Amino acid sequence: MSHKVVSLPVVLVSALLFTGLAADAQNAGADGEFYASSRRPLSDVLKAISAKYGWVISYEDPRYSHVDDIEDVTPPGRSRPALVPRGGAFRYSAPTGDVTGLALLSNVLQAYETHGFAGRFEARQVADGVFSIVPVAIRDATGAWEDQTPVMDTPIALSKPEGSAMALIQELVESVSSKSGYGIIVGTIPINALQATNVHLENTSGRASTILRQILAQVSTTKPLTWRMYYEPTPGRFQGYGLNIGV
Amino acid sequence: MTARRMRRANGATIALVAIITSLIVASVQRTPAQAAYTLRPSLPPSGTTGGFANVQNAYDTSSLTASSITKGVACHVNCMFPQVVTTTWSGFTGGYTPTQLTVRWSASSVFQLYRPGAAGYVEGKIEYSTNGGGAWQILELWSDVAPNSSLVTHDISVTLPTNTETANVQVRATLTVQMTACESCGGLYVSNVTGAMSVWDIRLDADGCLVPDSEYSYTSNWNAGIPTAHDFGAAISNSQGTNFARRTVEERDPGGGGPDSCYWDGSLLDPQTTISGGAWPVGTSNQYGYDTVGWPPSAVEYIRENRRDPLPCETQFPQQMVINCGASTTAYRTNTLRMGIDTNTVFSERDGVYISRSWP
Repeated sequence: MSHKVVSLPVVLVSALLFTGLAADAQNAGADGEFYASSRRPLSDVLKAISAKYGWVISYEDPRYSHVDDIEDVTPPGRSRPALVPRGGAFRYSAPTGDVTGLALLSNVLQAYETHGFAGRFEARQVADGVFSIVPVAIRDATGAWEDQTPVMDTPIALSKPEGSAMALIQELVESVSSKSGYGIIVGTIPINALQATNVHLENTSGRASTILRQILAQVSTTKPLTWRMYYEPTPGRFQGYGLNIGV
Repeated sequence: MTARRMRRANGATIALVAIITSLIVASVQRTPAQAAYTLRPSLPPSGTTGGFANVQNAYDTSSLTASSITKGVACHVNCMFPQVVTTTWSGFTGGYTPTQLTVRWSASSVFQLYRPGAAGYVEGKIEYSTNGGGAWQILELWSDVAPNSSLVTHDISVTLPTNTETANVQVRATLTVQMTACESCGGLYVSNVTGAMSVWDIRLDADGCLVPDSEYSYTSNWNAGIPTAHDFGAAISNSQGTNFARRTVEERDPGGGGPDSCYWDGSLLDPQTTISGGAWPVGTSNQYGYDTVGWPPSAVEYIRENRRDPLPCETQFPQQMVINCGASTTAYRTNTLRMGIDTNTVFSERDGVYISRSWP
C-alpha cells in the first residue's frame, strides 16, 4: 500500500501568515482538505493538520485485534506471521466557518469513524494548541466493540524528578510497560536532543502522558516535540507499542 | 486659542520637532559605531580566597549590580603588611572580531590615622590580558594615600587589535590596602585604612563574527545508554585559525532525507529521515560532541524480527550545521548521516566516517 499524505491548499495559509493573520490559521476554512493513504491514515492526517495549524498533537493507536482491522502481509515462505493495521485512504475536508482546534479534531474523528476505519478515538485539549488523540474503543476478535483505556493514561511514578530527558523517558517506558502489562519499545526518537537536556519534573507521579509532556516541554528544539504510540498487532515478543517522539 | 498662545505652541512644536530630528540624526550617526555583538565573561572567575563577592554581577548584563570587595588593615593587626585581593574573569566567547573592551568600576578609601606618623595606601587596578592570562596590561589604576576619596563609577575602555582572540581575553581586578607607616605595630595603635572596589560590568564589543570553513568528524564510543548508536566527535576550524570556544553549533534539517529502507508502512517505528535536533557547545580546542547516530537496541531488534524484506537495511539524511553569531546562526556545512542494520551488525556513519559493530 502506498503511503501518501496531502494537505491542500497551502497557499491560503501562507497568505494568512504573510498578512499577519496567523492566529486565524487555527480556524479551519473551506481550504482545509487532508488526505492520507496508509496503514495509519488517522495519524498521518493528524500530522498534516499539526503541520498546517502549528498544533502539537499526540497520537495513540488502538490495540488492533479484529480481522477486519488488520492485514496479514506475511511474505510467502515465511513461517513467522506479519500483521499490520489495515488502514486505507482517508480524505478529510474541514467544515467551513469558524471551527476551533478541539472541535476540528473531534470532527476529524467523526469523519474517520464514518469511513469505518479501526478504532474509536477521543480528542482532548491539553493546553492552548496542544491536543491528544487517544483510543477509547476497538473491535475485539469477535467483532464486538470493547472499551479501551489509553496505555498512556497509565498512572506511574518515576523514581527521581531530575535527569536527562533520555533517561527519564526510558524509565517512563519501563514503568508504563510494567504497570499496564503491554510491551513498549523506544522507537524513533531525537536522541541528541533528549540526551543533552536535563529535565526537572514538578510532579514525578501521574498519568504517563502528563509526565511525558512535562519532559518533552523542557527539550529545546526548533519545533515542540510530541509523540506517536503505534501498536504492533503481530503476535510474538514485539506485540505491543512503539513510542516515537518527534514534531 | 489666542495668537500669542498659538505662537508659543508653534514655537514649542518647532522645538520638539527639532529635538526629535536631532535625536534621529544622532541615532543614525551613532549606528555605525554600535557594536554588532556584545560579549561578556561566562566562567566563574578565579581568585584568592575571600575575593570579590557576587562575581556574576560583573557579567550579568546589568550595569546596576556590582561584584565588590571591602578590605581593611590596621597597625595593631596587620602592621605594614599589604592585603591584596585579586579576581579574574574569563570565558569570553571565541570567534569574534573585537573592537573594544570596557570595564565599569569604582573604588574608594577611608583613612583613620590617629597618630601623626601613621600613613596608608589604597590601590585599585583593572588589568586585561589578550593571551589567556599570559601577560597583563593595566587598563586603569587608581591609588590614594589620604585623605578619604573615591573613584566614581565610570567606564574605562581600550581598543583591541582586530586579530585578538576573544576567547583569550581576560580581565582582572586587584585591590591593595596597606598601612605604609605605623608608629608601632601592636597594642593600642589602631590607625587603619579601608579600601573598597566594585566591578559593575565587563563587556567586549565586537563588530564581526567568524565562522568555520571546515569540520572533521571522528569516531569516539558506542553510546553507553544506547549501545547500538555511535557517539561521533567533531572539530571545526577555519583558515584564520580562529578559536570558537563557547560558541554553539547546532544541527538543522535542510530536507531531502531518506529513503529509510528499515521502515515499512505499518511499522510501529516512524521512519528515520531527519536529524534529531542536537546542539553542542564548542570546547576550548574547537571540538564538540557527541553526535549520536543510530537506532535504540529495541528498535534494532524489532526491525530485524519484523522487516518483511531481507536485511541489510539503512537510512540516510542530511545534517546542516550552523554556528551561532550572537543570537542568530550561520550555516557552515552540510554532512550526511547514515545508519544501518544487518543480521548481526549495526553501523553508523557521519560525514563519511564509518564504524560498525556486532550486535548483540
